[in-house]
Amino acid sequence: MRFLSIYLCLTLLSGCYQAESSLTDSLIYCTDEAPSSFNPQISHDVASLDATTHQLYNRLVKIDPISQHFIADVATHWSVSADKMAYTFYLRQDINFHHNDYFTPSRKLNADDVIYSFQRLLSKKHPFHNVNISKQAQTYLYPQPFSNLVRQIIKIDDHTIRFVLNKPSVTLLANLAAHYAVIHSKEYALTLLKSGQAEKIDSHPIGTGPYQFKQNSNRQLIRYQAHKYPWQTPVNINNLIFDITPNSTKRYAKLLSGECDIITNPASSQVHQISKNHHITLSIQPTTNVALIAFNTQKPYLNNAVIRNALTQAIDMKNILDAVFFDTATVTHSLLAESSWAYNPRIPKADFNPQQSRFLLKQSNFDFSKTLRILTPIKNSIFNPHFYKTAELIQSNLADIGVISKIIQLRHVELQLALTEGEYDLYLTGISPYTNDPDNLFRPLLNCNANALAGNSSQWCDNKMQRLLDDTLLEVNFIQRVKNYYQLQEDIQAQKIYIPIAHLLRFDVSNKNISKLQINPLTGINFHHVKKVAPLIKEADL
Amino acid sequence: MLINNEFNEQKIQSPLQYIWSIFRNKSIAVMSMWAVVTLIIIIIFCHYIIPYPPSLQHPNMLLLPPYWADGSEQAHLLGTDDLGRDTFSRLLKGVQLTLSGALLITLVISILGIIIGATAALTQGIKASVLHHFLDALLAIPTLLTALILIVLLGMSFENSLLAVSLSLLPQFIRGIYICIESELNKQYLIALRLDGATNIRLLRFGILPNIIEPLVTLLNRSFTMAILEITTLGFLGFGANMEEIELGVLISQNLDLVYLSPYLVLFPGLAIFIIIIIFNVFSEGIRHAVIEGEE
Amino acid sequence: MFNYFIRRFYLLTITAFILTLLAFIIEHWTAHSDINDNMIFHYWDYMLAIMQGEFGYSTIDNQPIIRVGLIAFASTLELCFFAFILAGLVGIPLGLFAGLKRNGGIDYCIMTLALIGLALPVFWVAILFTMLPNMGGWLMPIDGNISSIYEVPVVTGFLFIDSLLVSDKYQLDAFLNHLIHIILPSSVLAIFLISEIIRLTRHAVTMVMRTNYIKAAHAKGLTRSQVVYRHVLKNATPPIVHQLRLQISTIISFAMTIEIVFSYQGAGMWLFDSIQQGDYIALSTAILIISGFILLSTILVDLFLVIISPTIRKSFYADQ
Repeated sequence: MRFLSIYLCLTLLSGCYQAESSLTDSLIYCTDEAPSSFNPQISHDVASLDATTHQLYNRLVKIDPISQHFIADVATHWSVSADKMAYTFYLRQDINFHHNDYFTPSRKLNADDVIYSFQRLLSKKHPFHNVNISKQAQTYLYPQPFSNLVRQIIKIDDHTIRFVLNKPSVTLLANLAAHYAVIHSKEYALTLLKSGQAEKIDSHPIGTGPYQFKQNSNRQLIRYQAHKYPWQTPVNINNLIFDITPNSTKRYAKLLSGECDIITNPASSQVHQISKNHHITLSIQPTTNVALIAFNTQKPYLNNAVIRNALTQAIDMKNILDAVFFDTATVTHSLLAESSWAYNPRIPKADFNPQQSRFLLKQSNFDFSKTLRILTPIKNSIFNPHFYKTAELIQSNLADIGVISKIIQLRHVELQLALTEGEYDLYLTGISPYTNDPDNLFRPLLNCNANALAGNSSQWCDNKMQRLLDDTLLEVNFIQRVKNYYQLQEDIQAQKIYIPIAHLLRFDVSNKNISKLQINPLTGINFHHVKKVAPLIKEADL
Repeated sequence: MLINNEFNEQKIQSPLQYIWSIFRNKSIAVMSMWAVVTLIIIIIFCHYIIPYPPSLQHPNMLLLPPYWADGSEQAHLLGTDDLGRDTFSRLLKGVQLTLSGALLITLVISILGIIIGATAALTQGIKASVLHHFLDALLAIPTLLTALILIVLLGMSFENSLLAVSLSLLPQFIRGIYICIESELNKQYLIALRLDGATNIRLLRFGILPNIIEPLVTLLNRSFTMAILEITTLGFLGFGANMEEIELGVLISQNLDLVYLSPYLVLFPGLAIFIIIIIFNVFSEGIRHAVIEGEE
Repeated sequence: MFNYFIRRFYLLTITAFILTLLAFIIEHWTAHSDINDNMIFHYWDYMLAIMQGEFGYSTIDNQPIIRVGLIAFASTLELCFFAFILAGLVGIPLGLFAGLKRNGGIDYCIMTLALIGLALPVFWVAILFTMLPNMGGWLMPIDGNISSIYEVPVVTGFLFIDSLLVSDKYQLDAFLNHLIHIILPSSVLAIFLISEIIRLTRHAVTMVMRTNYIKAAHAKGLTRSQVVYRHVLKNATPPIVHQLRLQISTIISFAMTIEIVFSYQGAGMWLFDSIQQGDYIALSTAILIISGFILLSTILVDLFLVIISPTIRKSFYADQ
């Protein structure tokens, strides 16, 4: 029985297995998706924001997590002209860019860097405007409200700049605190241009944030290290590691075994179990991300609002929430989150009523022999823990009222093709607005110029609604803006262009030895102040 | 002369009857035979056996455990999944699809394999040599890799996964058959038969095939086992049957997220695969032993 | 004997040639390039590129595909090797018991175990094993090759060696960490291997026990253990090794499946990811790497057999 004893010895080694989490200068964050790039100027997905915004970069101003006021970041202070048309920012003079093996800065941050960074978003002539981003994607990846807002950025001296606006506005600060308003190094950008590797700016980032980029191996692992010459309070963690583990149950297992310190998005079916575990901390944040069903309004029958209304009534949203989302989302009747200032509490609620639905369909001469195509992505995302199951539930709901449907599951590339060609009737998706401005939610969904890839997956175009959308963006009067958005929400609800399924919650789970983690559902996770102490001795009953 | 009929009458059994009489005496073999028959009945009459349509959802009965656990419902023998669908019905449907696929593959492989293997063994010269080297090359590619490549080339569907699995298992089967026939060909009775002027077909039909039943059964069993394992593996990895088709591997991958909530949903399909393979293994062992004893 | 290896080598080159042809066809097919041009020239270009080590670049991260593939396959080999050791330690004694006590109670028990081991679907057992730590309450890793906290640069591709090379930074921690990560996946693979080894060992031992020299050894008055160690094991090894050689491709197939369940970064995971992301160049490269390894290993195993088995050696001399 020698072999057995050897085997047992190996298994017993797992007793001392915990060693690595005692390394308190390293922190492992296990996430579900690899970031699409390391530049929040062009990538607005949650994974990219988590991996970049607070870790690698700084912005002119930031929002205090407690008081929700704007506070200084790269700028020390700022002043606003009386007519609210010009904002002057005074920059700190001691900010170092990251030093690493591919770039050594020769100077500290100055006004040129700030202007150069913003010009990428604003000016079509900027050398980086077309780098890593297709002409078509520019319309929805470069933040429109911001470029509409700013007329000019003027350098006053090396550490003073002035934003001149197109019209008086109070939203500039909010824009500058948003994740896309990060400051890059002009010196690094010019070096890259010279060596003909311009595309590296988004994959090998240089910023001023508390961590600097070290290595990105094969979409599985991202390593950061502490900024070598920090200008902010130095971080406690020397090695920050993003471990990309797509399987959510495994992420939780890795958290328990100490291979992850913090995980994001645990399996929705496990949340209940996790909340009962006393050895870990569960943080729940409401987000403005919404899971939704889009009707392709260009298709016969579905271009009729009555039929869309009828189909909506046939779908049992509560059942979807119970079976797919468990407790990880909140029921919603509106695309806009309740926390938004433009949320209209009076919009009528959609109710589940199959009889009424069938009656309406018959009345409007719906062709029951038609097969509706329900399009879903094959890969589950933050919008939906299980697209396919959601589709199955909808399919069975539709079958109850006699509507035949077929589920089409596609991989990313094929999915984009199907979306552009409009080869679908229903599409399961979601949208994650990245600022608090309602325009950021409604514009991609409803804008005539936006295609299905940009977010307008119901292929919607209505002149009246378009005008309302455009007018509201330029509207100065706040009360009028709110009124307009109320109107817009009522229109959407009446037309049933999109059916919101749920507003999602963001879950992050961390071991008890981690503290001071900041999570902002809008701009991502922040590891700046995170502290890790040696783990407490755990009981075996994990 | 007095002929004592009672003593001298000897019934000459045909070889098949003889083998059957040996087989019949082994209780475990007979049991496995009945199990095989049951499985085949399930394949054919699945539609009438299952208590519920496999995609019928019971929205107020989600994730029920099987009948012996607490909180179960008598109506759902093995519980329900997270959409309230009856596990038992889905399991039987899965068994139907997977098992019929594997049997089909085994049938196709055996016919093609015997034809190609016999051709290889009975011909000489450049044709056989090319075939050999080609087989050598194919045998050096792991079956899973072959199947994956074929799936990528053909496109993902259940039919294509069956095709891919059969093509990936074919080289091994041909090689097995070839070795059997080759070793048989060197035996003296076949040389005698050849000298008599028997054609290749005759040689095969009366000389070789009856004598390679035992290794043939082993080969068939091996192919069948591998076929089931590969179909379910491909289904599990998402390269085989799509989500709408109920296949045992797909069932496992669909319910993988729920493994901590309701482990039964993953346990049962796996057990079903295991039991099918065991039944067919024991059955083929029974036949093999009967054939060996019959020959002795 | 030298002639024999020359001949084997010659056969190997022909097989390798057919493999490159297959890989070329697959690459051509998946890339959907225009086939109007002369195929032979295309093939010639392809061969030239391969000779120079130019296998192309992955579309995912623009790394040379051959390097990615070799590193991944090295992990698979580590997994197989570890499983082999585990399986050999368990399987050979059990097979020996079964073969020596043929048709006894122990034999039936062991053979039932072997039968079960061969009938279990590997990926399902792997899933059960990923659940084990959670049920048993131990802290065993079920994902990946090594904790991401260790930064191990790729030198040889074999993580066991690479993790020892960074021992000045982490002492033995990285090595041990990798060892613990490999236990569960290799145990799953070992279940299949154990069953296979038991079956082969039992068969080989039975065959050896029937021979006359064993009877003679008994007659000489050797004890049972002496007979087993001196004669049975020595004579049973060559057929076992020979049979296992034929199973290498099945073993690699199983290992690749297990990797995908455990997210163990080996060849299986690499192919799975590549196919998911439409990077089909990995397929033709995988054929060349894996089949190349299998071909090479058959030759090495033959060589090994010649070294350990005098009878095979003799047959070569008889040829000449």
